[in-house]
Amino acid sequence: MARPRSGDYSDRGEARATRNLAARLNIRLDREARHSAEANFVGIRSERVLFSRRTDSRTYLVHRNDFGLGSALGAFEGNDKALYDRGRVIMKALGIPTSERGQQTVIAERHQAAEVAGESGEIRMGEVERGGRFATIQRDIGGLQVWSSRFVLALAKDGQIGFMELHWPEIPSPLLEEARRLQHMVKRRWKPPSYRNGKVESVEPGIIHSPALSFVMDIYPAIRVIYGSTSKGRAGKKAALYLDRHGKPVPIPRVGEMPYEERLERSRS
Amino acid sequence: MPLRYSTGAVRDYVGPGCGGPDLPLTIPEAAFFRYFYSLAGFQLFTRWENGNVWGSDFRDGTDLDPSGGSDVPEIYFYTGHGNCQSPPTATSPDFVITCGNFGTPNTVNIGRSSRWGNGAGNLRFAFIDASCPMDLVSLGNNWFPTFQGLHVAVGHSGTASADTLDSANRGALFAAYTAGSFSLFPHLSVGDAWMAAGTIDIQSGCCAVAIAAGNDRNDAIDRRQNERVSDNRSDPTPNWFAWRWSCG
Repeated sequence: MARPRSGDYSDRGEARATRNLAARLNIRLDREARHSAEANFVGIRSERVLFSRRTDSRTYLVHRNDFGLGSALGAFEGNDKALYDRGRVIMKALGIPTSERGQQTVIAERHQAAEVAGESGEIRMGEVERGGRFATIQRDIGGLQVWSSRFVLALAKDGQIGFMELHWPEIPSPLLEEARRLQHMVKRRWKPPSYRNGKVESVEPGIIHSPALSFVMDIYPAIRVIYGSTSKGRAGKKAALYLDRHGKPVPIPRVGEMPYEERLERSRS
Repeated sequence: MPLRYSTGAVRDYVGPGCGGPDLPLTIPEAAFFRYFYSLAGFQLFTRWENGNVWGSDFRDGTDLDPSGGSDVPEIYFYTGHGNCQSPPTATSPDFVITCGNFGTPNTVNIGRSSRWGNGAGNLRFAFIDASCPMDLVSLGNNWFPTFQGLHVAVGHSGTASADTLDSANRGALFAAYTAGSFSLFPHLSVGDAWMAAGTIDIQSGCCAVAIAAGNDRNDAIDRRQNERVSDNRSDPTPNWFAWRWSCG
């Protein structure tokens, strides 16, 4: 955690704490990198590197412009275990409870290219190639999914962080208690509401909150019900309802103070 | 001159009798997209919802309708229903499915009907958050022809059991990563942002897909990997296509 040294809450103390944290995470900052604070974020950025964190949540972002396949720093070539191991070290350094690590997945990107021959329009497909890889870790607090929290990590060839989104906000205990109550209800065969043109595919207790890149932090315990479509051969995106203990939709976590937008009606031209 | 963007979000399918379940998170998802794009200084062109999003907005010949055609702005974000086959084949169509007051039919066969950037069209970036609008197996038939000046498009590939979930955070994070609205957010290319955000709230086996056209192989690959919405690159001649995908 980026805690200032022994009560130094000055701008300089905050900048020093952020730089120290970057050093602990092996984030190599350029000389010209500057510390700044804006809205609920503080961070250090240069032309090539960004390291920022939220002041209202356990949220950390890292991005290097010069990493990835074909870039100066390249992409990590180690195995999945090495990628996870590095991720676990980072999470520990940032104070993420080990017990909350949920499903781990390495997502392997694939690339392909094709040429379309001029006159004939013939398509000449290239081979499928390996792209970058990133490790993802979901959050699970004793069987409660925290759907909006996640850890995403991609490394450069030399093992330094190329891209990272660690969004793991502290959940206030009353909200965790309510989520446990919802968990109890689901275990006791709570019945999801019927939904027109939808059939229930899954029912899970958990927590939703605002995304990593946002200016507010709304958190709601909810039961998530996913509905598949019952309409024949059409309309596929699955409805996901987030419901409270009364079966009513919880508010949608915001990303900021949303501006008022007038309701518009479109007329035929 | 700032680039123009539009959002089209369809929540209501049941009431008007369009089939498919309602999608309550599409409206906030599009609002979040606008929040970040307006913050970054992009100019809002249209922000239609529900019955005001028309199938004709996505069909060549009517997509230049000044009241909401998808080929008028440079950037279009659609969220609503699409359709998945189980499994798709190389000849299976990809769809956008609206529930419009006008401009029917609501079902748009992308490969047959959508052409972006041709004639007076302007669209550079097509962001389609729907069910399987970009199946990998049929990209050549469904997506190559749509690129008539279009730079990069994103969507999903999957099946009825490996599909996207209605989500507010997926579009919100994608917008925040691509818009360049805030100095302490990573500012990612369209392709990188979709690989990071497009895998949110999808079922196992569903894939986030980003495709770019280019004058030649290197150009297509460079756009797939690196083009940002704010780069102001010229329109590519679609001699080559390059795409990337990652699966949940």
